[in-house]
Amino acid sequence: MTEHTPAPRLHADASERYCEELLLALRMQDVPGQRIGEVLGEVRDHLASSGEDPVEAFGAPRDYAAALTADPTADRSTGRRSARALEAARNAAGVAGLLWSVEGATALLTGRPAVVSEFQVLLPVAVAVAAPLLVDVVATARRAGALGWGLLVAAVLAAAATTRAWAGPLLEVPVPAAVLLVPGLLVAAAWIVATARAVDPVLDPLQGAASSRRRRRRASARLTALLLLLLVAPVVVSVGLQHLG
Amino acid sequence: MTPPDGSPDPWPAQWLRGVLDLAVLAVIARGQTYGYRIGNDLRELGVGTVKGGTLYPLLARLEETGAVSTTWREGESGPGRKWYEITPGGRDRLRQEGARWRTFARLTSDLTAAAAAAATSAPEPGAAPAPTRQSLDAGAQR
Repeated sequence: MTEHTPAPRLHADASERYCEELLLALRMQDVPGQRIGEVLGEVRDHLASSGEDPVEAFGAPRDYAAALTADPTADRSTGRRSARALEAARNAAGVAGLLWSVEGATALLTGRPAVVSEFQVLLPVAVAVAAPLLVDVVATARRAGALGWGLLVAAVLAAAATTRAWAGPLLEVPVPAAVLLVPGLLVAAAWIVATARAVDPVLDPLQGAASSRRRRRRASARLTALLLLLLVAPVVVSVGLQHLG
Repeated sequence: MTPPDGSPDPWPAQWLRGVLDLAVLAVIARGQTYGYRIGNDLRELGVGTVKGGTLYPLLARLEETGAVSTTWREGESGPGRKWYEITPGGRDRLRQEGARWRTFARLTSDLTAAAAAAATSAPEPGAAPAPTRQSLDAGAQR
């Protein structure tokens, strides 16, 4: 048996580019992070040993991902669609929880009544519609993508809070702060916990179980911190603006 | 790829599809091994070139069904390497399916050998004429 030694740098680059695309394709097929780590490990080893062109050896990343997940006994596409729909509904509930909490907390801290507006209903629905598209970005597990999505949501919430503070909502029904704050916090907390628990990083197959658990916990903690920031930052901005006003 | 009988054509893909699981399992049964080496062994044995895109999903199915067990170890140069080993269940499967395959191969060999022998000998006087291509096709359509 011969193991090839092709132009190492060029070949390694092609291999890594292929692995990035394959990672995305496997995420789109809802393959667990641990299994993705194994698939990528085997592809890297095969390409390093054979010196073959990745597409020549494995086919297009999307086709290879489909071959790895082919299960003639299960209708995966139906399952995936309902999973995506459930995820969108969960995100909508989570964003509604965040909005109610922000409004309720701001009202409590500034001593004014909370206001139920069209905003608390429309934005979660908008997020639910956009979520299936954005989930694909988050699903690549590329930190930049996930962080970008988080920052986008934070920016939208901050901008909305600013607009509300200055221009006021179109419709407004004053309610005691607790009416929005309590259910809002419960829903937001449930969403944050569920989202953080669902974190599924790609794991290096050579890492032991303890190390993989640590990696998973770290990823969960990072996401929890990011989501808490989504809760706290708009409150701080909103209260600050109202004090200034 | 050239089959060991010297024929310039590779084995038809549909033949390989039927027997590749068994061939891979037989290679793994020879001793602990890994994906790239399994592909190389298959080629050297004359089974043919099996691309990674075919081999690794097949290995994953063998692992899922418990026919092989796997361990990850540090590779020689950088990436980790997944090693495959046949399990007792895999050996049973290889024994049973191997026996069935050999029976099937013998049956096919006998059938084609008899047909080849008949084709080389002249038809007996008064015997029914051999079916023409057209009548065979018509039969297949019925």
